[in-house]
Amino acid sequence: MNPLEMLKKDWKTKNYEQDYLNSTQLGMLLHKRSSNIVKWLFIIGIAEFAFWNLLRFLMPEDYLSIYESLHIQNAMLAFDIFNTLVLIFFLWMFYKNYRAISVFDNTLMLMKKILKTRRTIKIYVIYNLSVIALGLIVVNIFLYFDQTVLISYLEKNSGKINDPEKFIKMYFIAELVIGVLMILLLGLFYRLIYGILLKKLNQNYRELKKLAS
Amino acid sequence: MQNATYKCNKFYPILKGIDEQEFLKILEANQNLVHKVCSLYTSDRASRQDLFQEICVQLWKSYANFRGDSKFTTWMYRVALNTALSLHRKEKKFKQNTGIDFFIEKLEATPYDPTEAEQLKLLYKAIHELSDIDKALVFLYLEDKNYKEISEMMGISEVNARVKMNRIKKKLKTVLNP
Repeated sequence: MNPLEMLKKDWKTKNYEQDYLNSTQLGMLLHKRSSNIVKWLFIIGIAEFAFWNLLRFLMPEDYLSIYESLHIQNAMLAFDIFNTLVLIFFLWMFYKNYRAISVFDNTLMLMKKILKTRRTIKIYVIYNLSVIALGLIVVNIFLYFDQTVLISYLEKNSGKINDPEKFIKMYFIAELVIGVLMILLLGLFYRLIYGILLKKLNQNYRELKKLAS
Repeated sequence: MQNATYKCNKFYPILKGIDEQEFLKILEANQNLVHKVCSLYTSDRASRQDLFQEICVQLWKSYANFRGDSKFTTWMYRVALNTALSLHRKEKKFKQNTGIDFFIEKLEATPYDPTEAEQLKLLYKAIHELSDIDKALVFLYLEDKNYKEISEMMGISEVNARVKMNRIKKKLKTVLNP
């Protein structure tokens, strides 16, 4: 017999009777907690929206006084409004993509929709990282050209500074190093989370996509 | 096809007034199919139970949108494979069992013929080593689905499904005649 016909015949006789559950047991299964990729994606997505917005509340209040001394508080307020609009846009996109995920779609479509939901969060994270980087650069440029503001702010918080010139130099270098390090670390963190979560899905998606064309 | 969106609320079918008992009865009668998919995609008991549960949950969630549409089993194939390929991630770390044993433990059911049994063992072992996507194709082939159905279910072109399946068949045959 053709080995594949033989296989087919055997496959048809396969039954897993000893693993069968009765309807009561099956009913219990339905109400147990499930953990799947889409659920995790949703949880992590919401956690990220929360994280980036909590970050703004955690800023020390007198930090705003620096903006005032630099006369950029209006620009900062305008940016805050813009940022909130961006947040609403991303939340809406995220929700829309998430709702579109259907286990009844064909496999390729389902994978596409899951990855699209993930991409929304990815772009949001990249947006936030860029905003931080840009903000860091802009504020530091202003501070660089108006160093007295910086010195008086720092002296107010931590006492007299002896060698302002040397201190300022160290300050900018430290700011740069810490800023770059933070962004790299956050980027790595996201890669890790999504890398672990979506490894299998990405692999299957690539393989299936090849067969679709 | 109806507009079947993923519902995050697992009580959604209840809210839509769908009888859980009725669903459970149909699921109970057709569960062998789900067990088959699970045996294909996992290599130990814990992972198998895990995937089995996830598929049941997904079937229940989407049951509301299935009603009146296509055959129950066709819909089950779709949801079960989609869950295994796209939604399910977890493979339990500790392996209590050496995978393949599970897959071939049913061999006793076939009439005893040493060469045939040995060949089947080799074939199942080869299937178990295939990629997730290839496994899905083999599964649908073994379940007698035609290429049109396979291509619709997976979202790939019919030609490519055929070409790929032929390649897998050839690969499986070479396992027997290396």
